[in-house]
Order: sequence, then structure tokens, then C-alpha cells
Amino acid sequence: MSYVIIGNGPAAIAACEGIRKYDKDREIIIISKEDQYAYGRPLITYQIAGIVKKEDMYLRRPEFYKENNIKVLLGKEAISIDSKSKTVKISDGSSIGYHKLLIASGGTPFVPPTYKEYLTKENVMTFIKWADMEKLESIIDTIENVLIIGGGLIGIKAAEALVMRGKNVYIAELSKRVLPTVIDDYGSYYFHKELEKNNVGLFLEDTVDSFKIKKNRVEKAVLKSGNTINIDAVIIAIGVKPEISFIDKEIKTNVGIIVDDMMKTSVSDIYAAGDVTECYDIVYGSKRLGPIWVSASEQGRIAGYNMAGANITYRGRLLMNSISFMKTNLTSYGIINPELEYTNVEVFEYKRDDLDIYRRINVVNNRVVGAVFINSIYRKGIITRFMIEGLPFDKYKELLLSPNIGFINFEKEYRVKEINSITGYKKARIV
Amino acid sequence: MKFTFSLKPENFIIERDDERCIRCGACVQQCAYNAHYYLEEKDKVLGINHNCVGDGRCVAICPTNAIRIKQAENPYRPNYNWTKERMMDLYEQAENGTVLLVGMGAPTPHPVYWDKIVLNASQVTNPSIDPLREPMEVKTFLGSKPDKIEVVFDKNHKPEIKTRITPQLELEVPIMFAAMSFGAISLNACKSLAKAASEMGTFWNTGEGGLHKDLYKYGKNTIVQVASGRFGVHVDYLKAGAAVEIKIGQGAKPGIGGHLPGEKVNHEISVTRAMPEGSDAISPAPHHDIYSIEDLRQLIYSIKEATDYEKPVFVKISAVHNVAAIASGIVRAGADAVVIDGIRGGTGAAPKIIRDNVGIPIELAIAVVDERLRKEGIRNHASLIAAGGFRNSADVIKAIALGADAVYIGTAALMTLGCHVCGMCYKGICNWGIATQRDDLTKRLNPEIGAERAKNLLKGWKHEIQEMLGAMGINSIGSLRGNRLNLRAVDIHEPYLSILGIKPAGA
Amino acid sequence: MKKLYFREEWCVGCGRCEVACAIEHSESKHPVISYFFEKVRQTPRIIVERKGNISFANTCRHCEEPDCVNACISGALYKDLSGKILYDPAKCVGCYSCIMACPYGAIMKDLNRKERKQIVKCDLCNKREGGPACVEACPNRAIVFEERGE
Ligand SMILES: Cc1cc2nc3c(=O)[nH]c(=O)nc-3n(C[C@H](O)[C@H](O)[C@H](O)COP(=O)(O)OP(=O)(O)OC[C@H]3O[C@@H](n4cnc5c(N)ncnc54)[C@H](O)[C@@H]3O)c2cc1C
Ligand code: SF4
Ligand code: SF4
Repeated sequence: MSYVIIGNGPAAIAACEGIRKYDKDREIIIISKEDQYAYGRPLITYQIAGIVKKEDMYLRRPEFYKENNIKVLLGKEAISIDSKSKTVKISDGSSIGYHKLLIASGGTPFVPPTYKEYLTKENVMTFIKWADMEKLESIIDTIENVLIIGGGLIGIKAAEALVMRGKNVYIAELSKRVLPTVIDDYGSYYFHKELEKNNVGLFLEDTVDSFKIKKNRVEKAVLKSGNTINIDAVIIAIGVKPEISFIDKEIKTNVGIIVDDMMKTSVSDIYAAGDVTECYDIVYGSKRLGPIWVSASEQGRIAGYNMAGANITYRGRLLMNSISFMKTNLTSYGIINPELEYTNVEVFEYKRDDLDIYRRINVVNNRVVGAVFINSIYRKGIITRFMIEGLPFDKYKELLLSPNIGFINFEKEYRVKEINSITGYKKARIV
Repeated sequence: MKFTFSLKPENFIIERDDERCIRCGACVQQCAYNAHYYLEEKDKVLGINHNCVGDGRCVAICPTNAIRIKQAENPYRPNYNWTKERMMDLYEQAENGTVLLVGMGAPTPHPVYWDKIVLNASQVTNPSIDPLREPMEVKTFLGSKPDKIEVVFDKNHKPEIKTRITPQLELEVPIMFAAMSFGAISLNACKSLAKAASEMGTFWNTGEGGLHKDLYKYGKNTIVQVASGRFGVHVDYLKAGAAVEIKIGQGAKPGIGGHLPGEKVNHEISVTRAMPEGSDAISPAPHHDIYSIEDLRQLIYSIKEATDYEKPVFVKISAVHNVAAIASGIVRAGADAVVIDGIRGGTGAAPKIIRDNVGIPIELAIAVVDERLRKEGIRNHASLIAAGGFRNSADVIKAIALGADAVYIGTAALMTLGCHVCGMCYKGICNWGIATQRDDLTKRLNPEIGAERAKNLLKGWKHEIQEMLGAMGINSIGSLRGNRLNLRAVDIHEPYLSILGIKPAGA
Repeated sequence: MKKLYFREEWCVGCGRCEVACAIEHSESKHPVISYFFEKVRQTPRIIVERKGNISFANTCRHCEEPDCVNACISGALYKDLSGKILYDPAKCVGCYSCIMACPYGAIMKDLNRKERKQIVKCDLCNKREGGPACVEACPNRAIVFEERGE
């Protein structure tokens, strides 16, 4: 029997590589709802913007699958899992038995019931799948004004793609600022500024009340605030939720699938990884959702190792995001608005509005729990060490707020060891 | 930048090819004399000629070879008598009223006799030897040799030497590294030389700075010095070395003591020299317990006693007018080797006026000392080691033909480590990490590299010496020692010809 | 796998390694031409840090478990069969996820490439004969390229 993987995103690919590190032989079967080999999902922005060609969107070379003895069932959906008989039922009616199963089905766009019906219109879409990209592409030359519902990560990236294509973009966002989950109040100011600079119409604390339809196309949107805008297309980017509609009821879930530190679900021989899981978060110290690419890869890899018989535990996810809108770049880590979680929060900030530079470090009990950097990304990955290793903040305060974060401020023993590490950093795993 | 009035014009001109300068800033970062700076507003790297000492660090480090350092001409009215250097020195003293200090050996135009002496080669009547095919001995033993050797045969007719042979140093190549103290040079420079000496089967010399704990492991190849300041001298130190050298004088500053300013006496140096950190290390001009040959004899024998008669004891003097008589006294006092340092001998710091005007050239000193010891029938009682400005293997072999057993090289050794003979040793901020104790500068000399380079020099010279010996048809350096018939003089006149004991070329 | 190791006790802080790196990754591989006349002036993949008497170079560790590869959304960063972490600029979209994730701070923006956002990272001079250029350029053997056991 084979290793079976449901889903075909980064978690799935990393799992294949993880499996192959310890098991070179046993066949891997990937069940993929989308009829595309694994591609960089976030790249749909860049494809629309014209920065990357479709053929460059695939995560691995075509030979990858053959070289690694991976069979990909494209355009097939897993409908149900039977953990007793260890089989997965597929949309074409067949069943596949598994030796070890990985659920890496990712997220599915969350579309409120009131909008659902409009998705059938030819100029309304989500912005998550290859198909969404193709739908948008098919009408892109005929549209001018686009409304994006949701000012989160996906909404902002959709806006960027459209701005780069010269479209006139509006964003309606329920909260009082864009990117509410990945940036703090002050930081969002830089994005508001950049959006404005690029003539994006921002409707904050606002959303769509109703649409006006003409000939299978949405033509006008009436916002809660009473504004009415003429539009040629709508992108719904409200959020994603774990795709768990098909899973075995035995598998313990909350919003996502609960996994342990080896990426095992509550049912034996079934693992889960990626956006679909609720896994341990290093900074929060608890299991929660965290739909980010880097963690999907990490989880997939760890799951792969363990499916192939290794015994490797995941240290846990560290939330981090790097997102740009045109010239403004944000890198943020961990808990962005810790005042919601803790009482004894210390915030350290460096602001240079004239240069559009902003740095913010969130500290609780002398530990760095989160950070926000705007247009100041140089070497900032070093800060992950603080959140992962719990290094004391006071000792390195200047380092963390300086533009030139580096190893020189660390103690000699630490820096010599680290910059000469033979294996490199092992953030994700504990053996 | 200081903007003060001075009569002294610049010594060097920093030329930067702006079309090659990629603004990497290496020169700015590397120059301890601050002769380069970066003008950010204009994105230009500029030079400050006045600060330049011409040590070539920037020239070597610049990745695009954009920098040239030129000697500045005398901007004032040129005059044979009032050369630029004399004028500069005078202006300097007019400003400061001090004794002018310098580093390195005398650059004065006293004749370098090596350049006027040529070697012989075999043609037709005696065969030359190819050192690559045939054995060629350059091994040298330093120490007192007995007048005669008594050999007895045991029952099995095996010979056995009955004469008691006093301790000897065995050199694979007749070149050693001259005394340069930890203090005058950096620990990394000492480490480089010590490592090179031990790998090449020769010796390095501690100078008067004691032996740093990291260097004890090279003891077998170390000559430990005892000078007038007696810094770092204790019985473990004496025993750690392979030989002990009593330093009476130094070619660069005959009759003058030493002075290592307190700011250079850091923790490591203070521990090594057994003196308080930050205090000046002063070596008196004379040894206050030596006012006669008899006193010297006492010290020699005290040291022999302390080291169980296991180590040869050398005595080092500068080559001065009476050098032959003094050397004779030293041998009679019981020294196993006499070291003579000529006028071109180097230093970390000396008064310029002394360095350039006191002492005699080493060539003449070797000749007269060898001659005198032979005449007195005591040449075999001690080895003769020459020092002071040896520049290549030809200088070395000529010295041996004149009568030396081996030579010490100092400046040449430092040049393998990067020294560009700028002569600023006394400033203590050597850009090459040699004559300095500043951490950021000393780390520029990685002894791993230094040792390799110093070793390479010895290897190259050794080969060349073998080639020259082969050309003369001689297969052992011992057969050349004092063999002045293999030397001829070009453009040397009486009375120097007879002092050197060599014939003019053609004769 | 052979990797770069940095010996801070011997680094003199001259920055020749950075220069050598930029030259090696240029089109002309010529120190002057690459700086003045090429379309894109190269950003060194190696960084020299300096403070007081201390200086040292550092760059990518070519991790066994590379966070940058896990973070890369485009497949531009990958581990090759020898274990080197390499970069395919054609695939990169300049999202800087790798910069965000690298715990060594070893990935940099390609500062002077204006037409498109890209990154630069150490490739151990993958195709260069004689190994990494920085090693050769260093005057004091403060960088060594060697195999070390765990
Ligand atoms: C526009 C956009 C931009 C983004 N930008 C970033 C970013 O910059 N940085 C970042 O960290 N994250 C970003 N993300 C999020 C990132 O894409 C996800 O974290 C990542 O894709 C999750 O990977 P995964 O493998 O868990 O699932 P996914 O990539 O979602 O893959 C799951 C796959 O499984 C398939 N599937 C689902 N159910 C079934 C089934 N029953 N049978 C068969 N197949 C099934 C799905 O069709 C899908 O192809 C972005 C997402 C989008 C949409
Ligand atoms: S910047 Fe380029 S290489 Fe780095 S993660 Fe993004 S796509 Fe990958
Ligand atoms: S080239 Fe060597 S000495 Fe110079 S900065 Fe780089 S590592 Fe340091």
C-alpha cells in the first residue's frame, strides 16, 4: 500500500520530500482537487501582475514526481476517509488504500452565505485557486473598476496585482484598518498611505450591502455606508477556513484538525499538515490555526519524516508574514497585538515617518513575543531566534531596534557557534 | 583632520585612480595612520598624504589596485648637503626638541660590501656538483668544538668518542631568526617565527621579552635571551630554550639600552616579562653586573650552572671598533658562540642618530673576528654568528665564506610576515600586525600564514645555498666556512681588501 | 558537504570578501567593470560585521533543514543534490519570505536591481573552479572552506 496525500500544496510537496528522506521506495499518491501540479499559490498575484509566467509557477520541475515515484491524481477529490479499512474514497468512485495518510487539504475560501450566489456570476470570484486566476484573467482586459471585499493578506495581494495591471481598485474592509491580523494600528498607516498613493479607494468599517446585476454580471455595489460604486468585477477575499468537509468523524477537530507534535491526528496512521491543522504555536504556547506557507512546508516535512518511520517532533509554528503592497513591505512575527492576550506588554518602537520606516517589538516578561517591521527587512530573520529560543530582550534591545541587526551583538560563544554551524539552524525540528 | 602649521612637507603622495576605486572602504578601514577617509556626501575616497608612512597596507589590500604611493620629492630647494631627510629631521626637532626615534636597520649609504664581493664557480679543472642529484650538506652545529677528539674502540671494535662534547645546536640550515622581543613585535609574529623555525629545524630568538606561555612548546627551537633588563628571566625560562644568549649590544643601537613604553605593556606582556602592566620596560645601557670580561664569565657560568651545562651560551655584541678583541675576550670568558650584529642591524626603536652613525659594517666585523680567533688558536672554542641586514642567500653564503658559522635574519624574516620596512615600528601601530600590540592590528597576522611564509623563505634560501655550493664544487657548507679563496672583491680597495682578507677580482 | 567557516580571531575587517563576492557574481567578473559599467551592481552575499576590535564575515549556512526553502512561495529556492541551497532568479517574485525566515539573516534584497524585486544569497560559488571567491580574497585566512564532521 502507498503513502496517500490529500491535497497538493506546499505541505504535500514537503511531505513527499520528507518521506523520501527516510523511505526511497514506497509509492506516494497525491490526490489533487485542482488539475494542476503543485504551484505557488501566492503567485497568482504575480501572474496577474505579469511578473511571473504560468509555467514558472510550479513549485517543482516536472521530473520531480517521476524521480521520487509520486503518482499525482489531478482533478480528483477525496470524498471521504475510512480509517477502519484504511481507504480514501475518491470523486471518480474509486477507493485507494493507504499505508499512511496525510491530510494536507489546506484552506477553502470563506464566503458568507449572502455572497455565495454571486460566485456564479462571470465577474465575481475568490482569489485563492488556479481557477480563480484563470477566471480573472479571462475578463481582465474587459474590466476597469474592481471591488475587493476584504482588506486582509489576500485582498491586499489581489489589489496589488490589479493596480499593477492598471485597474481602478476599491477595497471594502470591515475593520477600521487593513491587514488587521498581521499588523498593528500604527503600522497599517503606512499601508493606508501606500494604497492612497496608488489610488486605491478604501472603504473602512464598511462592506457590501447589495449588488446590482446586469446580464450575469455584477454592475454596481451598494455599501453599508450608503456609497454606491460602479464596478466591473468583484473579488471576495474575506478569509479561508480549513478544508475538513470530507474527513473521517473519528479525527479530532476544532476549527482545523488537531495534530500533535509529530503531526499525527487522533486517528492512527493519519497525519495532517498545513493550513488545515491546528498545531502548537511557539509564541502563544497553545494549539491554534496559522495558515502560513512556511509552516505548511515545515509541518508537511515533519509529517513526511514521521510517516516514513522517523521520530521527529515539530518545535511548533512561529507565525510570520512578509507582505508587500507596491513599495511598502511588511515583515511581522508572532503576536502583533499582544495587548489582547497579555496585561504586562512592553512595546518598543522606532518610527521614521519621513523615511517610511517603522519597527516595533512586543515584549512580555523580557521575552520577545512579536515584531513588526515596515520597510526594514534587512537581516530581520535573525529575530526568529529570540522567539524560538526565548533569548532575553533587555540584553539585546539595541540590536533588535537597530537597522543593522547582526551577530556581532551576541555573546562570542553564541555567535561563533551559530555562524559556523555545521548543520544550519534547526528551527522546525527536535530530534 | 588636523590643520596645523608645519614646515615638514609630506613624505608620500597617495595617488588614487578614481576610475578604479570602487569605494569599498578597505583602505580607510585598514590604515591605522588614518591616511584615507571616505567623504560620504560626494561618494569619494580621499587620501591624507601627511599621515601616510608608505607601509603599503592599502596598496596590498585594495581589491582593484587603485592606489599608488609615491615618494614625495623635496618641495624645497634641493641641495646635496641638505637632503630632504636632513631638512625634515631638522624641522621635526625644531618643532619637538626631542631625540629622533626610528625603527628598522640603518638605511644610510655606508657601503654594502656584500654587493662588492662575488663568488667562485667550478669550470673544467674541478667538477661542479648538482645538488638535486648528489648529497649536499648544509647542516651546521653551533657550539664549542674540542681541540682534539679522542676515540676508543670497544671489545667489538666499535668506535666511541671519549672526549666530552659540549652542548651543540643542530641547524638544518645555517640561518636563524634574530632576537625580536614580544613587546617589540606581536605575539603572532613570535608565533610565526617560532613555528617556522621548528618546522625547518632551525632556531628563533626570544629577544629580551621573555617567553610567552604559548611559545614554550617551541622550546627545542628557541634561543632565550638574557639582556640588561632581565625581563622574564627565571630558571624555567632558561631551561625552556635550547640555548641562552646574553645580549650585550645590538647593531642598531650600540651602547644604548632599550625602552618599551608603558602603553605597550599589556597584560600578556606584563605576565611574560614579569613586570607590572602599563609600566615602562627599561633595559639599561650596560648590564649593571658586567663591567669586565671576568664579570661576563661569571654570568656565563651562572647560566651554565643553572641549566646543568646542557645549553650552549651565546654572547651577542654590536660590531664596534674593537670587535675582534672583544670577541676574543668573550670566547675566553667561556661563551659557546659569539654573535656580532653589524651597523645595518634592525631595531624596534632606536635613536636615529645612533642607528645611523655608530658601529661598523658586519662584513668587516666577521672578517676581523674570524681572523683574530684563528690567530689566537681559539676559533674552534666558539661559533661565530653574524647578524645585521642580511637580504638574500648570497649575503649568507658570503658571510660563511668570510668566516661565520651561521647568520641571524631579522628584517628579512619580518618581511615574510608582511613588513614593508616603513621604519615606523616605534610608533606601535604597525598596519601589518607585526610591531604593535593593538588587538585590532595584531590579529592581522595569522601565524598559520606567517609561519608558512617564513618557512618558505628559509626553504628557498637553503636551496639557493645548495646551488651556489654545488657551483663551487663544494658538497658541504663546512668546507666553505672561512674559505675566503672562494670570494673576490670588485671595487673594494685597500685597506679593506686586507681587512676582509680577500683578493680583488682577477687576481 | 564543504561549507564556509569563519574565524573571527583572524578577520581584519577589510571587506575584501564582500568585494570578491560581488565581483564573482557579476557578468564581467571584473572588479572595475562590474562596479561601474554593469546594469546591475551586485550585492555581496557575504556580510562583514564590525564593532571595535571584533570583525567577522558570515553568510548562508546551507542548512540541512532550510527555513528559506520552506518559506519560498515560488520554488525559486531549492536544495540541490549536494545539499547546497540554490536560487533560481527566473522563478523569484521578490516576496522576501525567505529574508523574513532566514535565522542567519543571510538573504538580502538584490539592492540595485530596479526592474524587478529579487534577492541574493550565497551559492558557495557553485560553478567556480577553486571554490568560493571570498576564501581566496581573504588576506588572513579568516574564511575557510572545508568539510567538518558533527
Ligand atoms: C493569494 C494568496 C497569497 C498568499 N500569500 C501568502 C504569503 O505571502 N505568505 C504566506 O505565508 N502565505 C500566503 N498564503 C497562504 C498560503 O498559500 C498557504 O498557507 C499555503 O498554501 C498552505 O498550504 P497547504 O499545503 O496547507 O494548503 P494549500 O496550498 O491550500 O493546498 C491544499 C490543496 O488541497 C486541495 N484539496 C482540498 N481538499 C481536497 C480534497 N478533498 N481532495 C483533494 N484535494 C483537495 C486544494 O484544492 C489545494 O490545492 C497566500 C494565499 C493566497 C491564496
Ligand atoms: S523572494 Fe524569491 S526566493 Fe525569496 S521566498 Fe520569495 S520567491 Fe522565494
Ligand atoms: S576578507 Fe577576510 S579579513 Fe577581510 S573582512 Fe573578509 S573575512 Fe575579514
